[in-house]
Amino acid sequence: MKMIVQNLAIEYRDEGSGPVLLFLHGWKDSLHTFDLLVPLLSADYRIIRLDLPGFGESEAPRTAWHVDDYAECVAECIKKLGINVGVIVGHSLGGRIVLKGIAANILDAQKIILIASAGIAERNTFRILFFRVLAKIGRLATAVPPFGFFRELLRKRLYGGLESDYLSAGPLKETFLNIINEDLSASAKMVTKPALLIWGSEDTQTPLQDGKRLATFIPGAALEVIPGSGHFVHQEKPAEVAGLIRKFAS
Amino acid sequence: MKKTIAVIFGGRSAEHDVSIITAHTPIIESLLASGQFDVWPVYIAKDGSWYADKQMNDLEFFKHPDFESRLLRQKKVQLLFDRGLKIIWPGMMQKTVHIDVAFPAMHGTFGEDGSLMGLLRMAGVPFVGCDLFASAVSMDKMLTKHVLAAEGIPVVPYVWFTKYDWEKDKKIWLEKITALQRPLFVKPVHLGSSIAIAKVKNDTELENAIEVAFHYDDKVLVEESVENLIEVTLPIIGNDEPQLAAIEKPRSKTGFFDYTEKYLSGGKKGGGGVNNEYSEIPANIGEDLTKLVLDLGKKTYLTLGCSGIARVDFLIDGSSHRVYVNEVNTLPGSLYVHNWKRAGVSGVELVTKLVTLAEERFKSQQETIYTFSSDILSKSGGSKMGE
Amino acid sequence: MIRSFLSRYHPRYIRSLVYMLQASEYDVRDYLKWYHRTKDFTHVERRKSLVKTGKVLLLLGMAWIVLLLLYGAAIFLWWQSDALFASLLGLILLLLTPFLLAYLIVIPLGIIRFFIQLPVEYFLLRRTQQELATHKAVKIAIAGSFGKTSMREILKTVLSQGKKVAAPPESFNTPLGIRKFVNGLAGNEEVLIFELGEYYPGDVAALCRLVNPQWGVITGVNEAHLEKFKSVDAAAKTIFELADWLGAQPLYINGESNLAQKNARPGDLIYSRSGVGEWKVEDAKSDLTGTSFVLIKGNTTFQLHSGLLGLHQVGPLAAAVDIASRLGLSAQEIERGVAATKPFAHRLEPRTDQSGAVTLDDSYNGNPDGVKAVIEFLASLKDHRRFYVTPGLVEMGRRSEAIHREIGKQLAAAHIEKVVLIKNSVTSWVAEGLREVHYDGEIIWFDDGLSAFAALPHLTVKGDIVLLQNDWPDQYA
Repeated sequence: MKMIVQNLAIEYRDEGSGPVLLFLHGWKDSLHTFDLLVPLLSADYRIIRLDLPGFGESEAPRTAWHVDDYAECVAECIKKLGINVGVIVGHSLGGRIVLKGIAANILDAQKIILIASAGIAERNTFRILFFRVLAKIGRLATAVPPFGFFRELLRKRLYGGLESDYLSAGPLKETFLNIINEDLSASAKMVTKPALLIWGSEDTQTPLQDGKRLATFIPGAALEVIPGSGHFVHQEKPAEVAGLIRKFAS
Repeated sequence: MKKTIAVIFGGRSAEHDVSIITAHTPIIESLLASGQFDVWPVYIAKDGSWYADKQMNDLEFFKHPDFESRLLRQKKVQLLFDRGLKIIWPGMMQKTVHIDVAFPAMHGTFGEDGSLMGLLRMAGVPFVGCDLFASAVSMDKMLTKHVLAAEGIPVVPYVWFTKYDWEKDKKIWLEKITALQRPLFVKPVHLGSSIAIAKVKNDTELENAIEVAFHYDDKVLVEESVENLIEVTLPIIGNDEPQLAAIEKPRSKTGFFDYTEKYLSGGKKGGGGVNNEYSEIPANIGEDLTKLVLDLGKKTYLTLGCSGIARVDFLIDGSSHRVYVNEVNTLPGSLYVHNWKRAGVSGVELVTKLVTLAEERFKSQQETIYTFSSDILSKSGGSKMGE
Repeated sequence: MIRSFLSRYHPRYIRSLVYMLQASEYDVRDYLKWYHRTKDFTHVERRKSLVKTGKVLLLLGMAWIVLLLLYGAAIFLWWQSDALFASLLGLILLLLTPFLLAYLIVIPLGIIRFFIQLPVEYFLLRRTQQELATHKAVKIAIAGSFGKTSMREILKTVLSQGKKVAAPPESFNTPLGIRKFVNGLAGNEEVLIFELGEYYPGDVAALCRLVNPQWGVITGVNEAHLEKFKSVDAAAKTIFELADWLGAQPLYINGESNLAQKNARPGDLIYSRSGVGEWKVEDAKSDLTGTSFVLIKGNTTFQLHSGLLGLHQVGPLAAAVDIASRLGLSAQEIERGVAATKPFAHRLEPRTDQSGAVTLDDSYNGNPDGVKAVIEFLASLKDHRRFYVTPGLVEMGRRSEAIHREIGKQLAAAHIEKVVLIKNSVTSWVAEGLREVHYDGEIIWFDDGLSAFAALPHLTVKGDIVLLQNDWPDQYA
């Protein structure tokens, strides 16, 4: 189903009945990332999922957004649906939105769950800077006619070193840069809601180390590690993740 | 001497990608397979620029990962209306191609809605498919219903209003809608695909769905939903004497031709368009209903003044056996060639027949007298000029 | 013209040369013939592409080294010496480099062959021979210009119902292939089936020495590979090296191949659609669902149905039944075995597409006898519109014109509705054959196989039958 928020058509799903669980997916993902969790929880909870603007079947933002724009948009969706959110669950980028939204009082929920959340990685800023400068030089150099041929090749190499998602970001490029440039450590420290962190031990995109740091930032946060799982822990071990959500939500 | 034919596709519509598929499988591939045509693919990008390059006869061109940058290197073409349609590649080595027949393959806004047909009429070139008037009326679900109802063809009861009407006073319209039996369907009037069409059960859903529909259109239709629904569709070709294909029934779970199911699930391997597993051909709906559908289909086609090709969609109430005409599609996705093949018409036969129909219609239009010589010009203000 | 000349200087040129070597199975004669015929070297990989084996990588590396050396030499000459003659020589060398390379590339191939491949092969084959000699299984060898693979599959399927059977898969019919196969044997097999490939005189005899067969099947003799054999008699002689080896041991010969039957000795078992040995065939029928017939010998009667298409399959099936019963399979096992036979990949293999048109993929069948059998089968299918698609047959030698004209006549006699021809040197003879007998259907021409395949789905409707006859490997295109 769709709804119109901020003049964007947003795709969403509203399933089950009971206390509301709101799910937010990650970058280049969609509400379907939670498909395996829904049947495990919908008997006792009302599960609301949405495709964030720019992903799945939702329209893309018309300007470059920041994390708080996403949080504002989610808040309006909640208002439009007239619901009280019991637990808000964010995976990866969804986790950033939850952190920022809760800390800045844009979003409201009784409890929060962050699954392999992004946003507080210890960034090797020098490496990023190095690649950026190199990319700029490359762009200048390949502007000269005979070298234009190598441009795509060079671009792929360089940005590949920077961030693999960047090239495939397309029109959302600026939004992507806005998001990854925002460090949410400060936001995390301002969170006062009960929080549960779920991490896969083998996560390479947002390594477990990030989860451990995040757990120290959020007062009273519990970290549950699922051994052998990667970044998409909710797809790899849906039963375990659903069990954790259930225990924490009740 | 091969005829030069321009297949026009892409366009500034939500169905841009689907149009590319229709244009290639079956249209361009069949035209090439016939060996009778010099085929020029004319591609209208999402920004409205026109391109024409034989490389685009291959669907792979559009699937290439570097498609965007390759397109930027293409030269944009110009059109010239000079006793027919000419495509011009401007520049130092200017090149011009005269088009004998145009084959519009654009779905939705600016393509299927009559806009492109208007352009081709102005150019004075024969073109395949429905003419401007039938295209424009068929694109508007509300106008279609008006015209058909006036001729006694059954349509589902409905209420329609514009975005202005709705924003000015929702209550009036919600009041009018109470006269309709629920559940209801909410549809943007002009949209070709099922995007933004919603079935609603209660008031909150209704208002939300209307809001979504207005996101895509400025006119919205709320109509009763047919229960025990059997959906069927009937592809038709021809000018004054329509030729009917087999009645086809989608097998999808929702009973609703879903956008993704409709276009993306089928047609990967030659000739298809719509995956056969998704439909029953011919539809097993009994002799009486079959006859009724065929009659209504033909009557609808002629009433709307369709020519060339169209597809009429029907809603049948499975328990009362009432048949309603739902809408008319003047450029069926992939021409519904999978259905025609069941009827013994191959892709090549279908497209060559459509080209012949286009030429026949063009010829008969040319024989109709549109201009009269008059002396109005010389008389108007003539006395002053004379002084 | 310019384009084809320039394509020799394209970076892809070397890869193309190595591909041509690989595709012609490192046969220098075939490679050079192809090389001399090729104009555009950027597009030789049409149907297949280069498989990066160790040998290929070695060749690629060597070719690049040779290329760079030649370029180096050319530049050196041009640069170092200020004599006009030397710089001119350098320029000519530079221009000639690709041409020289095409021949020089053969040298490393020879080195690899004589110093590595041949000694290793010799050693391996000696071992294979010894292992097979001590293996207890019944060894059946199949030789012939055509139909070997079908025969192998039929035998394997039927005999498997009662025996433990093993046979080398496709393309294992060379000595090294057989070596690989023998390596993988468990030791408890009861029947081993070998295809004996033949390219040059002596090939079959050599393979017989290697596998030591007790039973033999000769599936037929015709013009296949005639370019290499020069005459059909030479081909027949090579194939009948199997008969010489077997002596008085049982040998089955396809009676539907005139050239094979002609060479049969008294006492050989002739099989055909009318029977084999004392078995008589009755009531044979074939359509798109398969082939059925009754096999009778004295009081024994088998009701048989096979998934294979065409009456020409009855003979081989009957031969397989005879072999099975001699090996002691029960009546049920034999009937079940025949029922289990179904069309093999690309050998008259039916496939129904979305729109309901039936494609009969016979693209691995490229011999005149097979073609005749298939046209005969098509002729028996009534109430269908039939498309016959072919680029013609290859390696037919001097008989090529006659064979292709004959195909045209057969198609006309069968009243095939549409004949789809790929433009090349031989299909014009098919068209002439058609016209000669006033063919009443439609001939549709395509420039190449790919455009024909792209067009076919748009030409057919439900109920049509499309026969794809033979596919040309790149070296003949």
